Amino acid sequence: MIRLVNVSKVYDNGVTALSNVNINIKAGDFVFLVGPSGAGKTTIIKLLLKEIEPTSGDIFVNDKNVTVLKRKEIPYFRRNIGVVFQDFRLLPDRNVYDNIAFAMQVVGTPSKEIRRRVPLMLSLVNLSSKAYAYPNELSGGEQQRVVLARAIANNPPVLIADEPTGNLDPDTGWDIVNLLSEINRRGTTVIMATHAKEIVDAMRKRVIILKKGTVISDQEKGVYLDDVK
Amino acid sequence: MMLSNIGYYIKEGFNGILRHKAMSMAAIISIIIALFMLGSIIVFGLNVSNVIGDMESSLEVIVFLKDDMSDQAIERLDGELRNMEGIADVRYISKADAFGKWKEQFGDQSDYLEGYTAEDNPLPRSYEVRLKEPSYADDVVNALNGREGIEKVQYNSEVADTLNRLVTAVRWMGLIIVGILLVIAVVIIMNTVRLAVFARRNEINIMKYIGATNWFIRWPFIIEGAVIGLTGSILSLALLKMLYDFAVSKLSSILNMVNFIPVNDAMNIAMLIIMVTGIVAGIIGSAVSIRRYLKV
Repeated sequence: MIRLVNVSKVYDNGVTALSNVNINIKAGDFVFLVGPSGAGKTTIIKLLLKEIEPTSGDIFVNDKNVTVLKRKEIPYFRRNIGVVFQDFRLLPDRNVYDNIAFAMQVVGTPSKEIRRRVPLMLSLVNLSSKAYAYPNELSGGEQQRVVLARAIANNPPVLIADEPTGNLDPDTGWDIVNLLSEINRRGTTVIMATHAKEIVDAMRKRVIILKKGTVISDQEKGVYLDDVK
Repeated sequence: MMLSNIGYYIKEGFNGILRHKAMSMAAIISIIIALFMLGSIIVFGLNVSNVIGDMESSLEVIVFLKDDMSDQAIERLDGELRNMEGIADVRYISKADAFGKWKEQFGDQSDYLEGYTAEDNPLPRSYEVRLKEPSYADDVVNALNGREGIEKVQYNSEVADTLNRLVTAVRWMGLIIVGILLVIAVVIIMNTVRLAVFARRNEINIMKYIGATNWFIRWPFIIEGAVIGLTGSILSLALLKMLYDFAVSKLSSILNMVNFIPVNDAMNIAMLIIMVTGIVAGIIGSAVSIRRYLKV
């Protein structure tokens, strides 16, 4: 499903973010990407979204070589990946319903299908009652749930979450993780970059630990190793 | 452009304006100001050039006839004048006409014509020849000068030259000022639209992550730019028309020899330039400023 083959990334300012990273994620996996700040988690996510190019190596998503994608193909490629950010990134001038509908309009979904599907998404993330609220009227946890609904509205095979609980208190964070887990149970491959040791340890999912740009540990049913903190 | 999306683009274009009311208002107001300045100069220039044109065409070649010129000779001259190139209008002034004109001009203040009558006076008969353009003056004057029966051909070529140069200067000045204002208007409009786009760079960024194509992101902005440009140009045109109407009604009585261009004619010329500038600048402004945010 997702493969990084001998991937290295050196930024223009000379900082080596990744060196010779190999990761292989199967369809339907739930993977935690952990490691201290600067370990290379965000760089991997940016590479998967083709926001940046690797200095060397190949990246495959859905068996497609991302590194050779043309500029024009990027939008269509990104529709295969739902993204959740630490800082939510909702459109502040549209209500919850329109924020989710927007993601579907972008990919050309007929409005009839949008009207059918948005309420389903809202009920999945338990926000049916807030459909017409604006983002600034919602709590952080509620906003992140809207982002989740938006990310999976188009049924992408992959969902990437970059520190989705980073701005939330522990209980609310758990709501999000449980939702991610539910989305994964329905067949979506989930990659979650995080610092949250309690969550990683409790979930007992695959854990890939990065340190200074290299994979130092990759375990099924792994835990957050204390020495990397 | 996907056909199924046109409705979305137009709807989003208008929604963009309504969602960002303050930003749109600021954009529309600066467009009104820029285009109003442009329109005022255009209308002013048109009027100045019109006034000078009027003065120019009122310059006439006057052909004074000798008193002994026979009626047949006059008739022949009359025919020739009317067929001459570049002549707009020929008027015969008889001794009686000349007498009447004199009286009208000087009235009782002059006793020069004391004792003379309309039929019998020392004033010469003449032709007043109006030219189509001052440039024909030389040919006409040369053709008539020294002919039998003609006493004198009078034409004020110095005034004509000055007016001619004035018209050229005014037209060039007008063009240059309009050109500069046009550039200023375009820059103001583009800048305003750029600010509006900048305020929404997050929105563009999010769309990129969701997988929106560049054109999908661009179209609503372009439509928004066009609508704002159109709104601004219509409002500035309305303002210009109102003020011009007002100015003409006030000034006509003071400057009664000035022939103002009718408000609708003036507006027709200004309208084309203003609308095209407004819409094109709005579109280009949004298309250009959105470009850098699309590179994610």
